[in-house]
Amino acid sequence: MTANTQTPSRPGLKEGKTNEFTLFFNVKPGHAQQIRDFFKGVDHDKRRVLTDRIGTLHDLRWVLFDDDTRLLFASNFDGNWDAYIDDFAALIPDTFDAVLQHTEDYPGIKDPSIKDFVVAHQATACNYLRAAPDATVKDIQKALRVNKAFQQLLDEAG
Amino acid sequence: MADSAGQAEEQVLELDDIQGTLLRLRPTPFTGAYFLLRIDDPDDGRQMLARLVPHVASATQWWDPPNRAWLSVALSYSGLRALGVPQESLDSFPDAFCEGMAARAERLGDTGDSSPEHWDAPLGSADVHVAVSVFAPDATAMESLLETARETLRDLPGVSVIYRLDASALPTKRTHLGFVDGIGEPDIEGSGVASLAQRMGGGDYGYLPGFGPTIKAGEFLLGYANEMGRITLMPQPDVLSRNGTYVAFRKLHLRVAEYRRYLKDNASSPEEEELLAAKMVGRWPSGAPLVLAPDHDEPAIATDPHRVNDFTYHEQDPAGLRCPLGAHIRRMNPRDALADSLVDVKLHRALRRGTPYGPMLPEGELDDDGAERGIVFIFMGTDLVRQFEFLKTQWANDGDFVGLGDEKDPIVGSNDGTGTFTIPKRPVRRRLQQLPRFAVTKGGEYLFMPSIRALKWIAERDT
Repeated sequence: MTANTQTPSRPGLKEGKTNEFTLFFNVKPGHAQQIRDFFKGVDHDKRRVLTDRIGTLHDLRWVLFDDDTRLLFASNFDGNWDAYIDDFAALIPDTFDAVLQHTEDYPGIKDPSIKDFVVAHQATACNYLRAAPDATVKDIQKALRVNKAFQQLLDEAG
Repeated sequence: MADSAGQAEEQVLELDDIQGTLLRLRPTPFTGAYFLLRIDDPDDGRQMLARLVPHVASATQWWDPPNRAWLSVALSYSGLRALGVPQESLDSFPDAFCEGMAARAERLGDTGDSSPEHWDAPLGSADVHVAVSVFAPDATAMESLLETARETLRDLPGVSVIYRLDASALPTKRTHLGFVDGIGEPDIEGSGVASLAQRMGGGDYGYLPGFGPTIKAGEFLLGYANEMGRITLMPQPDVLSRNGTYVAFRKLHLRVAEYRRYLKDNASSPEEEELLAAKMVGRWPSGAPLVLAPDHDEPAIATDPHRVNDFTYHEQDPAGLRCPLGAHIRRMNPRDALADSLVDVKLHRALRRGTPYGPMLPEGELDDDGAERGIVFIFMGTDLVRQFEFLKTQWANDGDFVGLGDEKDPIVGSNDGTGTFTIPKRPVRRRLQQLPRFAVTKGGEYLFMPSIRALKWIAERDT
């Protein structure tokens, strides 16, 4: 039996190659509807292209709770979230700002203190389990491509 | 693409305040040495610095330094403290620098034989306060500068030289592994690129194909705008940090005999050995890139400054059929290779200087002679985490970013004999197995390389 490992000096548990990443924010009074409205306007396909480009993001969810006063961001990442945060800030700043501007104390994704802000809002899971801990998003995408090609080969052979 | 407004605002750098080693490549051939000093008395330490400062080469005097030789100075966190830099100033330095390289060994892949408990003393210890590098075109000029350096220590019992590592160009002008290196350097805005290739072409300044994109000066110098459109966090006061940068200093022992045996064991002819080595590096021994010379070395490309860097990956070699996805140079400077990923490569560039130490292993020798030989690797940049540590953790010691799973850099990766190296090939790729670690870390330090004005500021402080 192996225990989850916590990366030194970083919150969050790691299982295999993937980290859980759970953030809690306080929603600015009356701003919950704006968050809902933003997601209504989001083009799901475009978001998928974005997560493909990120290449390390297994999934993510946003949840408004406690009578719309709080916001949860829960996600699973390969590697460390902070390795690429500067890249996200440089290349897709609007994605983060659009939602988080409706939360309290948010400095903006481009603010130098953004990493401290994230860590301050992060809570570490008590326990973390993955079905395939050693499969990264890239591994899964590759496996699907290979399987598709293999099935095609079998189809053609048959 | 830089627009005309951007060009009009071209950054002006204070070249006379910036240490020369940061922006200028040394002439070759050269002879050199690194010295580490411990300071037991802050007054003696500052006195030594005051004497040393007039001899530190700036980026303007680089091509004609006093005595045709030049000297650079960098300080560790414990060194800044030992020199009496006030605590509030020390506290304003970033965590990675304050902790030091040894404390971050695990994340850097410095484990097993490379872990700090096996490092050469005093590397990685709190005794390393000041690092001085001395380079000269020949032994006579070197001796003259060393004499000057010795003078700066005269009657200062509170300063001790605790380590010396001689590091000079090899007779071949190549690395111990047989390659010309230092070719792909970033083009820093306002600096006047002075790359190896350009000097081979006879000019010191100007833009050449393949060097782009130009990187904001703030990526490599504190006090200027960086690629994120702001000035990197400056330790206080400004006079201490402006025009300075951080240095990752590493002493890497190269297992040359093991490297040669590995190539031999995995190839059926000397030609195939050379191809295998080139696949691992991404360039041929001459420096000719595989993307432009896929089948055999073409030294004419290497010596042509307009061609040696004039290639792309995503456009010209997306599947890595020429230069493998996991080749050393494709990892360390992916150019456009990650165009489909959400990565801004301009945030992860490195200014690098590599200097060989130790005697060459005679050509053809396949048995280790026990000699210490390797490379002193110097990284310079304003963000140790976003640049140096990112390069090590994401690109050198992992392969996920290009879909290669755990596969590590075949040359500098923290391999342990279980790794692989994948060579894309049609119809079937080739995968080398049981990759050993060829570059063993023998020590390292995070240092701060202050401006010349900052060195004076430290030297003149009275505590």
